[in-house]
Amino acid sequence: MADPFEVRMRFTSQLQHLSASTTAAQKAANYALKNREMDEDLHSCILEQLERNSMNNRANIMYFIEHLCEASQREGHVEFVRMVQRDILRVVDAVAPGDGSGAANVRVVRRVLQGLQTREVLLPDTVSELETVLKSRDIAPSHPFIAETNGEKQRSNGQRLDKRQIEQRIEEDRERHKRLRENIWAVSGEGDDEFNKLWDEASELGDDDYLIGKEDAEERKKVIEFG
Amino acid sequence: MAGTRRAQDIDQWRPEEPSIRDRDRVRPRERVDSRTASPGPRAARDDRRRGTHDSDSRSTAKHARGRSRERSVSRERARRRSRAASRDDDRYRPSRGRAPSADGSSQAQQHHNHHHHRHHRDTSLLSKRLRTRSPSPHRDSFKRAKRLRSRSTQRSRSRGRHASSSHRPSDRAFPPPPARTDRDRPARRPTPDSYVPSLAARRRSRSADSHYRAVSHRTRKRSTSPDRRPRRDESPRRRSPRRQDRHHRSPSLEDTARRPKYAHRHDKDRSRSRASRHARSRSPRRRRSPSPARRRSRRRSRLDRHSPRRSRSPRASVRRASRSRSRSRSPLRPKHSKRSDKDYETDKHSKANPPASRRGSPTPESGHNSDSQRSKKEDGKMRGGAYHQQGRAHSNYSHSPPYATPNQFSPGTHSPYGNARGGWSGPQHPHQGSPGHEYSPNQSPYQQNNHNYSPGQQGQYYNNQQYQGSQQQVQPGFQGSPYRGGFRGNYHNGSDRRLSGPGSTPGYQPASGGRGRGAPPTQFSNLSWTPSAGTRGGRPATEAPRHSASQPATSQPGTTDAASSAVDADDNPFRPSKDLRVEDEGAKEDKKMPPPPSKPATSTSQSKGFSFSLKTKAPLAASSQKDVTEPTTKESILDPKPRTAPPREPASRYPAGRSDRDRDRDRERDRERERDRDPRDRERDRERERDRERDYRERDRRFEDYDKYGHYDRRANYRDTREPRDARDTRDSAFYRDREYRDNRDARDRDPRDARDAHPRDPRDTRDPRDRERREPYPPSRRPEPRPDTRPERRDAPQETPRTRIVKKTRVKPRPTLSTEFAASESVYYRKPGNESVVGSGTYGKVFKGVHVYTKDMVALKKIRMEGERDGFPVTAIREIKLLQSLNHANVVQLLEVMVEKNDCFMVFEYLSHDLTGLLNHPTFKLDMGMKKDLAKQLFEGLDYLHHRGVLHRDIKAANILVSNTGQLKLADFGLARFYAKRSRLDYTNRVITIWYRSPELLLGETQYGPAVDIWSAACVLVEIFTRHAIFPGDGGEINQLDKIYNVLGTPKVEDWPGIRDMQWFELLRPTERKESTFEEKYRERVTPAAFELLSAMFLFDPAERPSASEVLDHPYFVTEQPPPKRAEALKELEGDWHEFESKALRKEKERVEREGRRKEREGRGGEGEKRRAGEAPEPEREAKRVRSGGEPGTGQSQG
Repeated sequence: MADPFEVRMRFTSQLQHLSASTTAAQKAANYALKNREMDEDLHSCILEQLERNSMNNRANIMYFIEHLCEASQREGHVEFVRMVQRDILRVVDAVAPGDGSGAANVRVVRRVLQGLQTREVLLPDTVSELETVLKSRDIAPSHPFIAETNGEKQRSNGQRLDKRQIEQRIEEDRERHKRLRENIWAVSGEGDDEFNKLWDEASELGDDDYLIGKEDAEERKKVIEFG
Repeated sequence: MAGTRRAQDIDQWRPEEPSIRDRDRVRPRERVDSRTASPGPRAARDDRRRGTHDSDSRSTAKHARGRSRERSVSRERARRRSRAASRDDDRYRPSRGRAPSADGSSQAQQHHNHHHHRHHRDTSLLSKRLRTRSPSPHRDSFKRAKRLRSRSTQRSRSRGRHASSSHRPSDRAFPPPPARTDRDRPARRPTPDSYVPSLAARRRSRSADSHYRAVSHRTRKRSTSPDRRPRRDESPRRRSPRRQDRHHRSPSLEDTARRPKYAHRHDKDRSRSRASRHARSRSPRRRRSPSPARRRSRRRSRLDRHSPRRSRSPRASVRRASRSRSRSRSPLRPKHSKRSDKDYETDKHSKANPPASRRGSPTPESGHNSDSQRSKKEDGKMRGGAYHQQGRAHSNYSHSPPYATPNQFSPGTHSPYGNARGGWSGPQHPHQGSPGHEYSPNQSPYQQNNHNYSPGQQGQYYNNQQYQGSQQQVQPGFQGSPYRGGFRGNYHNGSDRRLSGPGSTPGYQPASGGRGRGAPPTQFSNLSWTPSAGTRGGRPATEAPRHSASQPATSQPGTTDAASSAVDADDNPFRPSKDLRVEDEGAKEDKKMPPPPSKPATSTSQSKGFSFSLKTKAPLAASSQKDVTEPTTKESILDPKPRTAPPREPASRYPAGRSDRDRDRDRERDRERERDRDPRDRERDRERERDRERDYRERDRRFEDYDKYGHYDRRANYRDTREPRDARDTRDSAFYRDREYRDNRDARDRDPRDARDAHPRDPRDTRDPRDRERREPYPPSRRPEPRPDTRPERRDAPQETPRTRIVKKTRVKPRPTLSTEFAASESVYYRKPGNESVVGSGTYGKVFKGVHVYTKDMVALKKIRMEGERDGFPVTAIREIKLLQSLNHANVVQLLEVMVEKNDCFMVFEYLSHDLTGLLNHPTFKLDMGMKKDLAKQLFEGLDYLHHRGVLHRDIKAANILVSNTGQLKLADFGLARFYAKRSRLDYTNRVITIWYRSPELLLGETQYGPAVDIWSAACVLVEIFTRHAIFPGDGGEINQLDKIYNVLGTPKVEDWPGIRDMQWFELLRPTERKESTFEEKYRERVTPAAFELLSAMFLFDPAERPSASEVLDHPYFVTEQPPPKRAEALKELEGDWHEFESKALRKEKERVEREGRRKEREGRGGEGEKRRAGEAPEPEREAKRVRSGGEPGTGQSQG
């Protein structure tokens, strides 16, 4: 049995160093489940880190929560799930604060909430409630692209991410997108799923198809000539 | 495809070269052997197969018939050959003539086989040796006749057998069995037994040979069959070389009585063919080989490409010859007998003249030469040097033919081989290591050859190694490994043989026999040399010369058979070399030369008579007369072996097919062998000594220079071989050609073999084209040298029309001689050393400028970067290649081929002198409006094509747009390109496009984008074309890049771009303030009105609003506005190549100058400057970039 203090420290460290990679989140989730007898402490750690770290890190922790819930359900240790359900509002507030500093995280929160709903961690009603909250925090009306009047007033809240963090976030989002695309093409393989997918992706016959056919014919002719 | 094919070929050549060489070697040898030996071996195999149901049976059946076809093409070819044996024999004979080398190789194989047999049937070997020795003089005649016969016979046998199908195989098997009996006979004999019928069996034996050939063991089998033939049919083989001999041979076991008549013939033939008969012993190998054969077939299939041609041609020629021969064989038999008598006389003369053996060897040499040539060709393809070396080695083999008998003796003297092995074993064993005794010997010879080669070229070493490896593999299954080695050698020889074969079918036949013989001789010679392991290299060289001399002789014999006069003439030309080798030999050779037609018979007669009585005597005599003794010993060895072997083999072989008589005979033979063993050993020792002496003599005379084994030897051999070949070659060439063509006619053989044949043929034919291409790229120097030598020789030889023809071809091909630079180029694409050829570099790797050494076409070699690729070949490169292969448009760079070279993969593109960046930054050259419009139009035409084809380029930028010196624009660098779904929105990565050219939606994180991103990029390029500076030169970060865009175009409004709210990083990258567009004020005055309108349309934030490429082309700017597009023909006058790479270098240089200037200023100011320097250092670069981009652009900008 590890020292509770040490477990807390290590778990905190893991949360702070979460990255966009799936392995990092899963590693932290496994560590939490390994020390499930201290689940209460660990959950407090999550909340603590959510409110303490950068917006990028909050987004990563948000994704981590999804992994943690999934792992807990798999392991049969529902305590983590229960605590997440209890504190979801607090989590959302931390990740996408209402002051506009977390507007960039709204997408993350939405995505994670959708994931939790599909995993039956959250009820659809809860998700819809949270969505209304998020909507108000989405794109700040002061956004220069939107604001009718030059929004010099809001210039950037002090929380505006610095350049390095923005670029880090961009890279992390790209990484997550890369992981996402690894499975984006997957089809159940049952029924007509694959056919429907191909059918949907298939385009109507166009002149480009004739072009391809023409080229193929030319190539074939060539081959026959030299064959 | 062509490009890819080329690349493949190239790749294959290099990497494969070794393998190819091995394959070639193996195949040629195998083929030859299989042909010659194959019959017996096949039969044996059949028996074995029957008994064992092993791969052998499979191989046999397949080889014999369609199975072989089905299996490996090479096998099939061999089988077909063997099947068609009689037919093939004719063809093969020519090929054999060509194959002389092959014969030599086969002989070598046979020797290997013999070795094996010897081990098993030492007595037989001894007897054979004795016989062979006595025949050795005959050998000269035999060599010729044998070559003809042996080749034809062997081939014919194998072929005939194959042709005859099962029956023939059995017959063939019979004759071969005797040879096989030495070692493998038991298994082989069974089939032979079936073949037992003397004449029929003989004929059959031929077929059997074909079967054997067909079998992977072919080489061994061939060798075995040859052995059988030599014993029985040798004379016929040599004389009629072909089937008759084989038939006789097949009965030979039974025909021992006949042998007396034929004996001399047979002996001679045996001595010569005995190598092949050793092949009988080899036949066991064949038996063993069956698996090897399979393996071989594989190899062959591989090799087929290169070697197949060779082997094919030889085989095919042989087959043809064999067919004709086989058909004629029956008649030939009597003829052979007559010939044999004559041969005996001649043989006697030859015997009297030790050189005869050498002469005999010459034929093999010719075969070797041919092989060597082939091998050279192949090697040239693979490794020019290797071929040469091989050729030399072959020449050695050819020498070996005479030696071959000695070698055969050695087989009898397996111990010698063992010794040789021991000596060689060091090198050989590594290869043979596992193989075992017999294998090792065979392998050893090859290895030796290889070693010999290796000295010449490392590549050869590789080949050797590979071969060895293959041999080893083969060995496990059968003694095959040795066979393989032998086959390999044979193959090479075969190629040479083929070459020689073409000269004259008869000559070829002899040559073929020579090949088989030659091969064994080479092996033997090697063996003999091996004893003096230290001299290995030197010996081969000596042998090689001998071979060369012998080859001529062999070719001559063949010619003599076909056209004695011509042959004689050929012989004479060759004689000089022979004379060089050994004056006595030369005389003998000359004598032999005329006899050849009769020689076969004489040789056989001698072999027979000598074989038994001479066995012991001959060696002694040989000791007195080194040359004579050697041949005699060889023959005797062969004979004894066959005899002894038969008993052993018969037991296994004959039981099924042959009667108890055979078994009894075999037993007797075994007994005799046992008895003979001691004498044999003595003889062997004597022979060895003699061989050594001979070798030394030869070396001293001819090879002193060649002792090095290296290129000199090879070259010399080649030259010698070629010379002989030249005369022969002309004949041979004609024959080969005919044969080859005929062979080709044999669709089966040709297909798999074609590749082989093609290679062998190629070597000859190719020497010019193929060789050049293949050889030159790799070892141009090597190839050129040998070629020139061969060519002139051939030219001389051309006196005969075929020769002239060949010469012409060769000449024509060689004449295209490459410049020294190109010749030295290791790649087909020559590129200047160091970084001089680099025309571009990036994350993808480097791009080199190259020149195709033959077509002189300029190419851009894009080296695919493999460093840091943990997952193997980068999938992005695969995608790029796939994309490019599907694209065909004037404005899209053409991928010529993909080439793997030196473990690097290159994409070969057409080369364009400039790219847009380099062109726009050219210090002096300025584009006028019409030229700019033309470039812009081509740019969008290319884009339109890509988008029409559903391709997103995703890396449009000035540096990726190439411009030829005729103003032709082509889009390049499809490393980021991908197909996209036109009618659905899929997620793609947004980390694409060089950031300066990246559209705002991508910068904001859009993942569902389309061709509009390319339009944005193209718009940026368009601005560069107009203004010579980049419109959005950011610092490399997304934030800064967006700021650059906002600074020019202002910040987007939601009403302008509704979708902006959905951008992933809309909030993340929100600007701090709104900006108004400054685009109009900045650019309206710098471009024409229509151009400004066009740019404004393309620089829209909303991707959906941007025009498509086709819409851009319809814009008034291109359609109506003056001036019209004008092709930038003025680029022709632009000196040098201007790419981004060059312009960057130019910038750097300017920057450096600027810095120095600043430093001087600062230094002048004082210490503060230094501090500033450090801080400023980075800035100057950027400034420089900007200056560059704007560059002289800066001026352009201001000007614009």
